[in-house]
Amino acid sequence: MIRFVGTILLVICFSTRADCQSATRSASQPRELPSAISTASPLPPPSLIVLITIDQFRDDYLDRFGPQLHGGLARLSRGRRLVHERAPRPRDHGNRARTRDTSRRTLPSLDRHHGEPHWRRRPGRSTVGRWCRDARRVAEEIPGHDARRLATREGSAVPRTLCVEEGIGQPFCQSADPKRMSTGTQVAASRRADTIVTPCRTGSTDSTRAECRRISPEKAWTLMLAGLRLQRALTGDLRDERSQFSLSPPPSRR
Amino acid sequence: MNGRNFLFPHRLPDDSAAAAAASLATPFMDEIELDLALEGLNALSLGKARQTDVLSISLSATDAIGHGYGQDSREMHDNVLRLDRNLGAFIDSLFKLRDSTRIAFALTADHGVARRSRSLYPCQSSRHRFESTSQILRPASVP
Repeated sequence: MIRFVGTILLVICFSTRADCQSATRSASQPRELPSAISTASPLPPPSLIVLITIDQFRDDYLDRFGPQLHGGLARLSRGRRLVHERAPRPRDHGNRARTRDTSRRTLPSLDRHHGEPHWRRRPGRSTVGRWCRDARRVAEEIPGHDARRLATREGSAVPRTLCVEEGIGQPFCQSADPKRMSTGTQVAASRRADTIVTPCRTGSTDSTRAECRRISPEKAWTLMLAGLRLQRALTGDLRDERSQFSLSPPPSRR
Repeated sequence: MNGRNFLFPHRLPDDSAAAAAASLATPFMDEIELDLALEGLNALSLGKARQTDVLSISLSATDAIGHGYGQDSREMHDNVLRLDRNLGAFIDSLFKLRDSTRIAFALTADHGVARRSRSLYPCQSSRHRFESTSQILRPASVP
């Protein structure tokens, strides 16, 4: 059995007005995320919190490949590194490692994607609440920001959440109005639920299958996009000479 | 992977179904998923209101590649570089769509992995690994 080490890295970046000013620079230069967050003036509440969870991403990758990183990882890693924790050997694939370490308390539990995968969700259990709780924890780490304002959304106790995962090997997208997503069965039962698409496989829970049947036509963009993108990948549009995962040449036509 | 397809670089099979299955352990899957997130952001108009919205993205190609080729493999190196590039494009696109001054990013991992290169032992299970080793070390005269 592979010994997984629950090495968790959390980096939080908050775009500031300086970042906006830097947008006037050359378009070839990506806008940098600030490494230091000013606490002098209160920041406005973020309109969008982007939580990015990379599965099995070892923390030393950032340092090891750092000189070669010039894109998103490089920019995000210059943010505020909140937690760098090496947890004890976890029991459950590294993501259910609920230690009693006090430093753990500052770690947003952004790991439930893996710990509670989509196909294991049981009717009656909601994960949106967890996402929102995690978002609130992230916001709490932003100096000058009152995380409680996240809960002041009119008519809703939690922010609107869109979760994009690669489920059982297939990218799927799910969204729900938290007011209507207290349980998975409610999502499936409510026509007003904003479930976009869940191209899940068979053998899932009843609620998952129900969600699949509830794909609304107007939200079928995700399925189309996923299909188109995958098709592009398979037909060579993503062919890259520098690719190490090169695509086979198309069969010759006679 | 699993004792097969261990030559680098890798080629996706010609058959579309097989290629789709094999693409799960390539950086392409994360790229697709990030595009999916941007489309979802637009479709739901996230980040436009005064209230805070949440966009949660879970990228899993790193895990698949780590399991398949090893945590210190060339494939992982290639994947991290591609992930870096894909995330850069994602952030740039996001900043064009929304006010960059009001976006907070959180980057994390659900778990790490111990330092043991599986690339030394292409076979996935320990049983197969020992069998392979014994075959190598076994004298030729031993049946």
